[in-house]
Amino acid sequence: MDFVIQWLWCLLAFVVGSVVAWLITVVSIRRTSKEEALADLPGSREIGAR
Amino acid sequence: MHDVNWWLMALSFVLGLLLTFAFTIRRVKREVPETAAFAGRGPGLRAEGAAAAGAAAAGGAAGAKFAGRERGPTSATEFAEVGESGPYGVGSARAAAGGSGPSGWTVKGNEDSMLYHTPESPSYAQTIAEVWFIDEESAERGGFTHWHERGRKR
Repeated sequence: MDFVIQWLWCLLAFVVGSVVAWLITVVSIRRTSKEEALADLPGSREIGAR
Repeated sequence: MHDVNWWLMALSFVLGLLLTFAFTIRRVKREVPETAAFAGRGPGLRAEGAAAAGAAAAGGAAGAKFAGRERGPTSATEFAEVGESGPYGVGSARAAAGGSGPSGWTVKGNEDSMLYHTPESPSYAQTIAEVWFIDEESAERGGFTHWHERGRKR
């Protein structure tokens, strides 16, 4: 039984770690649309045009 | 809670953190999706590309017209010529290599998103036009959607 409890605590720690990482990701990386991303590309429309 | 192995807990926490980062964050590769329509059309493209486009694409006439030149049309009169049978009908013109358009034409068309941007659009300045339209009606006729409409649909 002790082993299972240990294992559950480790699982909980893992989940908490994932949640923290996910929160950092969501806060620090801004969501952008496909169109905006393409418009942000420097000189994207010139490719293949020379 | 008194008999918990803290080292194992910390290890699990760090593992969860690192694995989640590994799956969610990736380096951005700055690439443009290469589609046949994008590569084959346009007035400023290489001669062989223009020849291929001339056979199939609707904008082929415009493409072939400027195939022999190094760059696309630059003067308003050249654009006016193209506008007669532009890639998206009357009132549309293919943008030059730098994305510039005929003077006085204010509506920018983006073929990837099929949206057209009027100067009121927040992304007007950063949009590099592939097609220019003389007015909004021409853009609508060409099958383009107003930049604001798409935003509301989402």
